[in-house]
Amino acid sequence: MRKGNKGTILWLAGALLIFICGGPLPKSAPPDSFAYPSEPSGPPERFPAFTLPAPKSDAERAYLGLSGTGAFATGQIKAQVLIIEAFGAFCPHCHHAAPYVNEVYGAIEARPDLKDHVKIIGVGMRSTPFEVNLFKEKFHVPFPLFADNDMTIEKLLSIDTTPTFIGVKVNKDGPQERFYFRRGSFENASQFLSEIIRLSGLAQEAK
Amino acid sequence: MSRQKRLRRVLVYFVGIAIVMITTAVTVPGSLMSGEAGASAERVAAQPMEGVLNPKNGQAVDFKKNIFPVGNLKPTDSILRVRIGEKAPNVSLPAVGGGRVSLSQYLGKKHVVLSFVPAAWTPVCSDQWPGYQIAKDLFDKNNASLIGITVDNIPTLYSWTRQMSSEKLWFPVVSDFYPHGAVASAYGVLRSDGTAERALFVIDKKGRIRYIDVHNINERPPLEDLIHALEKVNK
Repeated sequence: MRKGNKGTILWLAGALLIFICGGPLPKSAPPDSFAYPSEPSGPPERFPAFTLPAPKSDAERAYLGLSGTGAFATGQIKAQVLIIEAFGAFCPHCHHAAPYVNEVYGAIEARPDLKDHVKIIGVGMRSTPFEVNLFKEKFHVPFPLFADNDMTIEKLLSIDTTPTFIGVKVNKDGPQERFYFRRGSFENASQFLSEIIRLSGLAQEAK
Repeated sequence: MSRQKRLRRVLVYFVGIAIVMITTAVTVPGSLMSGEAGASAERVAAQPMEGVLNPKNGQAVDFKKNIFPVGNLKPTDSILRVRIGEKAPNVSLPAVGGGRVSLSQYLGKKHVVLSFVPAAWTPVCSDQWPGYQIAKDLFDKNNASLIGITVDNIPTLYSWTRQMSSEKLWFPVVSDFYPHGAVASAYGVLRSDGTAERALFVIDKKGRIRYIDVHNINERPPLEDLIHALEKVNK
């Protein structure tokens, strides 16, 4: 082999080695990078109806558009879109998520185009009313929370992780539709809300 | 080859390598040599992988994925050795935060809740103490403190408790690891498999046992039951 060829081969080998070392790191995480692995929402599904006790607070009943004080079905909530946070009052990740969910609530209430159309409730999985109330007070949760100590709703909604976020299109006269299902927390409230608006079809309605 | 030619060749090699390095850095985002290296490394560390810590709060990105599934266990598996009204057996165990924690430290000062949980990194247990973490005001209101006990060793408890909250736990967590389960055994809450029961003991300022709840190991004791017991003791 000629000396010149040997040098060229060495040069190419060195360049290749440098290129490999300088290659890309594994694919970067999405912007909302602290979420649990969350499967895509998938196609809309029929959402099982369930009832909850009416909140004791007048303000919370007004927020949900409820007139009575008895049990109510989720379909009775005066909104087009309902966000349900399935949380555990003692779950550390739900503690961490609480400020971001409050931020979503604040963002909705601050927007006249959303305020009367999107509502949030929280359902405390395996949590007693006492524990749910502690969670509410500790994290200054401004939206209504309910307890699911007997796991009725947990089983009905197939909740296996907390927090889990579910988006539902509310239909007063017919079946409700689940359009969003997310296991795990988020730290980007505006991104979460945008996703809810987009997937619910509210964005198209606004156009 | 003359010295001048060799020098020229070496120079050509270096220039070539420099060109490749620059090209790589510019065209391959996230390359180790690119300006994005720091940011990329941060993004990779932040990916939702098991056991990875969230740098913002030090908690595992997916804490629950690290929990060992134990299945449904025999609700209780021990014979209680203490009764309400009796003097509580002393507790003096090494704490995760260093030093030892003794029941005698609280005598005449505060009521104490001893919270035995079966084992670190198991379901239910991993939700129980984070709940107590947010209930500090309720313990304070009743002039009570809390000691968390398991039969795990200190390094295990250190890792486990760090995942429970972005803040340091307000109560001491102690290890009844060696001699194995000695304190759990003295209270009669050591199970036949070497783990502890899920048990709560309220001990008043005089060192007397005032409340016992050896709970079904598969369920978390409701917080209100414990708080009501503390309210009674603190009357």
